[in-house]
Amino acid sequence: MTGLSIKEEIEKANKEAVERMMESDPLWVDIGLAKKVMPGAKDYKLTHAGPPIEWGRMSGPLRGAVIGAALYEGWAENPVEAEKLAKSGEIEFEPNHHYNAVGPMAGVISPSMPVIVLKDRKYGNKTFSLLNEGIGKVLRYGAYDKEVLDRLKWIRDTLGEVLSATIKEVKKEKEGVELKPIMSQALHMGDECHNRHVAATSLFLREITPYMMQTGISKGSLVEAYNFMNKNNFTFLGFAMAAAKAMALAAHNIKYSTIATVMTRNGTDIGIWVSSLGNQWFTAPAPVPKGVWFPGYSEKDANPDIGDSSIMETAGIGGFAMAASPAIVSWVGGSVSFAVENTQRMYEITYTKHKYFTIPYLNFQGSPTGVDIRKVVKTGITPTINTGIAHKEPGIGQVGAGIVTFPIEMFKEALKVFAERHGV
Amino acid sequence: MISVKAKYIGLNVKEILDEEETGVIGKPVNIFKNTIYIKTSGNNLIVVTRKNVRAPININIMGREDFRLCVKPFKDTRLMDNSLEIGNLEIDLRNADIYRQSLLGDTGLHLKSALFKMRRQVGLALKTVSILMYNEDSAWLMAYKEIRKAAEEMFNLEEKFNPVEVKEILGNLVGLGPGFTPTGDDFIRGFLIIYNALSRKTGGDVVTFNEDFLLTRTNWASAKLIIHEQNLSTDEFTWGAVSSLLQGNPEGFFQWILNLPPIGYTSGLDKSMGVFTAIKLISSRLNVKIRDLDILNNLPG
Repeated sequence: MTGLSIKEEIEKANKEAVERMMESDPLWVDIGLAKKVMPGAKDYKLTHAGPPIEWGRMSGPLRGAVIGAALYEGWAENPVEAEKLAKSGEIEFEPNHHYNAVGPMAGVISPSMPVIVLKDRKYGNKTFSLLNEGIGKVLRYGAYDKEVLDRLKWIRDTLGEVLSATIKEVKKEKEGVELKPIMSQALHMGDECHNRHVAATSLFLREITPYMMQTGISKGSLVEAYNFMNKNNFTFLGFAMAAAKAMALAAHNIKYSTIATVMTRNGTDIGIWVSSLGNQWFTAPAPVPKGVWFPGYSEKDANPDIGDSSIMETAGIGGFAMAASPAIVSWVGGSVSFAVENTQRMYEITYTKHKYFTIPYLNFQGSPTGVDIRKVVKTGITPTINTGIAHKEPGIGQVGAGIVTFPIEMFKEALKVFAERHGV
Repeated sequence: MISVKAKYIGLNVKEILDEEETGVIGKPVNIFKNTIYIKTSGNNLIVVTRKNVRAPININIMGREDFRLCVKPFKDTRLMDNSLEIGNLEIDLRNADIYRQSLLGDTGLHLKSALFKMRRQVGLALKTVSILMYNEDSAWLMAYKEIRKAAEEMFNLEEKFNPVEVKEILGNLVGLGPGFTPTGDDFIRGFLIIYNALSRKTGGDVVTFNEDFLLTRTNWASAKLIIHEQNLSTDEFTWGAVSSLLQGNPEGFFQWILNLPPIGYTSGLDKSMGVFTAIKLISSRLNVKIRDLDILNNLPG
């Protein structure tokens, strides 16, 4: 101890944690196959969204993504074989967060998938994420038919190669592509940077297109790659998630800090990390989101919440910045007044207002940043986030988008362990 | 008129309403955004709340209305055939479930054994709750100073089950500190529910205050809440903690006690400190050593 009371220690630690979270400066610096650029990635190992889970307890969409990844890697010839392999224990499963990686929805990263590499210029950490496949029938929502697998291969062979050449061109001029200014600007253009990346995707393309054109890659591939990214409003999601992971990681492992540095779901469980409690998981059953459904689907089709994408709220944007994004309610449901209320409610459980992520509608106040587990337990208010909704059966894909409120139990448990470990 | 539906009606409220004729039955005396306190013509308290915590004296309603915008103080509260009308608020009472507080049955466990089973978790629960007491406002700090003094006096009593002395010390805390239900009152409520529940289990005397005394020091609604609590009528979270304690269920106790902090500005926290103080007093009387139950050092200030 330093002579400070525990409350002073917590205050000091939390101040430092959120300062680091806000000052983190993630740059996109590389892209490559996971087994080449992401430490820990290897054959017969899949990392996934959320807290740890074994095959027997995996939800439908996560199982679907595992089956799809096994087919994509060529570890199995067909879904039945893939399922048998997954069940046999021959495939190792581990959370993305154990490798400073994040993936949306099922978030499965296999060794031959291209992953985006970010470097935090301020604190030196590297983080990783996936390229976005688009919406609907995609691997991250548990779909794995030929169309899905063909797209994944195209992403690897064409989009991945184009982006790899692009970032090399960028690095001839500068250290990498700065992502925080894009996110900050997108918040002023109607994105909340979790479920709406319309502005961010445009800004990102504007930033990288000149470098893409200098790569010397064939015009056909460039046009294909550009059109794919341009048509997909979620192109920036993977970059934003890796950036948010870098921010949250910068706030991790600060002694006495009660700030949550991971909040994530695997479709069965929801889990958090707390800065001063290291990589200890605190989990609870994942809730089913309330949503807006794609035609032909309803709540009865929905899987409980899934994905590492709540890293956006962990870093102070996404659902926490809904007031910046009135149009988001057409995608996730609710009303514009709800969007504003949600942001205002999140101020009650966060430590500070972000220095760089500001919300025009709230007179440019900073977004609510740094979920403090003390405030969650004290107020009974838990994080409310925006999310995509996967079908509960493997092989189908996305059925809607919506809003989900985290259960309080894991925050209570984390606070108990904090009290046990640090005493008063 | 704004219409809302009642989700739960506490048994105590149901009994009051069953005895009343239709027509004017009382007046709202305190109105907050989420809660209305009604004084009935028979001097009973009914609490109408949008919050999720149930209690024998509560009507829990669904809806998002700010009560301050539709109810004025001291206007008539009318009981209709199927509803309760408070100003411009109409509460549909049909289809509401009745909330019954469970009885303090025989758990088959001696109190000393139950407390012994709790010896590790109670101290940890206190530590956990005290981390949440980060309000260092001077008005609260002054109240905590007095509470600390009172707790110390009680711990130093030679006869720790002597209700007369305990009552005298607690009486000085009535109306103490800030808040609609003052910090001292909240502490007393938490203390009395545990002290009286455990005393009854051991055949000891309970501590009770009469309304006239309380009204010399605090407001009517807060006095009524103390009276309900001393008669073992409380919110479901506190009751869950009491029941878990008597069953020697440490995990249950921890979960219930950590439901209290969101109540009020500091009411839930202050009440939980009363709970811990009573546990310490009674366990010390029964020679059960509860680890790390250091109330005095866990109060702010």
